[in-house]
Amino acid sequence: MATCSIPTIPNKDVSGDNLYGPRICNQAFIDWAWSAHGFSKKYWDDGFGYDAPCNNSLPLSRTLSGIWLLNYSADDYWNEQWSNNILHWGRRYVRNQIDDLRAKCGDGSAIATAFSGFLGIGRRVELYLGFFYSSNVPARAETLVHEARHMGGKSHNARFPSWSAYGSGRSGADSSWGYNGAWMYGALYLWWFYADGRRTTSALRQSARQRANFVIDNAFATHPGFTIA
Amino acid sequence: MDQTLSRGTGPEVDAADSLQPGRETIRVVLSPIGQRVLNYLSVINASGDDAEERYKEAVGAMREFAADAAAEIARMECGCRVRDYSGRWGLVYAASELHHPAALPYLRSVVMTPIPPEESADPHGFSTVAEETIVRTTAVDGVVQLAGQGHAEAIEALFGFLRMPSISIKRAAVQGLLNVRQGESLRGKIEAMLCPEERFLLDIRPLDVRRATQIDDPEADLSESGRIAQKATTPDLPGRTGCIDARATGDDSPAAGSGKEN
Repeated sequence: MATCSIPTIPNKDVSGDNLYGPRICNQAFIDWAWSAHGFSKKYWDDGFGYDAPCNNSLPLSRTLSGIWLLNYSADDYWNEQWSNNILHWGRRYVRNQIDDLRAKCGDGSAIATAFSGFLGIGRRVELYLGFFYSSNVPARAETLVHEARHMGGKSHNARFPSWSAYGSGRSGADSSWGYNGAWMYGALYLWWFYADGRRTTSALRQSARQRANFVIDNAFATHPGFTIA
Repeated sequence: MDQTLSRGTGPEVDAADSLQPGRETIRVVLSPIGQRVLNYLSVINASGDDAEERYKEAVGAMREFAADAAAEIARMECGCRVRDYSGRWGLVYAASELHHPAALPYLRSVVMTPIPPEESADPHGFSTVAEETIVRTTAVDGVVQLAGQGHAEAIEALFGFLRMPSISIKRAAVQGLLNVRQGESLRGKIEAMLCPEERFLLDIRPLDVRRATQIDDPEADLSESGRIAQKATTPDLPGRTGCIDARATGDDSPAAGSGKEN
């Protein structure tokens, strides 16, 4: 068991937590999200927010905010058919892939990790302090999409290109946009959120655009050849 | 991040962690202009029927004293913790929204400040360089906005950004330059400033997401357990009810009424 401290909390107006925090404070939503994503008291207790799910300084509320955004950002959010775009079905993909969602301290090197059951290691997604406190709400949603894609069985398959800010030659890149990997899923979700996201703000959409463009520029061995207009 | 192949977690895998309260935040006294900036940040993501009106008022209050606001934003960002990426991003975005040439020196300085070396041991999982870059490309977009208004200094600044090592800063600057009036005529000058291996940036197309390659069959991308998962769909928002049974009963889900701190 690790013990960690809440870092200085970034401005919650800017991160979107003061926008989404009140929205998640709804028993029906909490009940549903709790069940659909495999939360359990054991991993969200002891400071992570189980006793105060509406406190948007704590990890549980901040995670639920990402889930709220993921679920209600399409105009017709109830239309989650696979034939639609990822703004619609992203939520369905995430909840179908994530059965065990845990809050952990982490060691500071990652914000989340997907364990897809390989070598008998239990299937789960772990979220760390950086997820709760270094990411704004759209970035948290993107992380869930990214990790869900890993749970779907798609690992990264390439090394970062020479120009990448993630480190030239390091592993962890996707070979191309068409590989349909976790980077593509996350970037495409943010892109749609930027282009057509509802129940949100212009500033959060712009932040999503910046993040998606960064992924497009840096996370593929072959640059996709486009940028977000 | 997918570490199923690279990192086992050993016998501690099921252990729960503990999170302790952090230190109190120190409150600083702001100048009247600083208050206007802070007020802007407080409505940047506001909701409600009057959100747009409040936003317009707040941005108008900053623009009324644009030069002072730009200076104050610079001071405030300087006072931010380095790792307060969200707060720093908000301030850079505020400077961009001034739409005033007085913001140019600050925006330029943000972009031209060298990105500190990566602090993360696993940048794929979390990258300080990524966060720093996103702050800077937001500043580039602020300069692009000024360049689009025809400010020659902003155009010159964009050319200066082509010397920065970050591919994302260069990409944003190239796109900005090509989009100014008669930007296509700048193509030769841009090309001359880029290394041969970076000239692909001139061929990058701005794209609407509707024209991007999508995921044809996401259902096929599910794992076997994901395909057979039978989970309740999302509850309806107030105003749209009764279409789908979204009731879910979390055995031990927490009570919503507790811990409100918004």
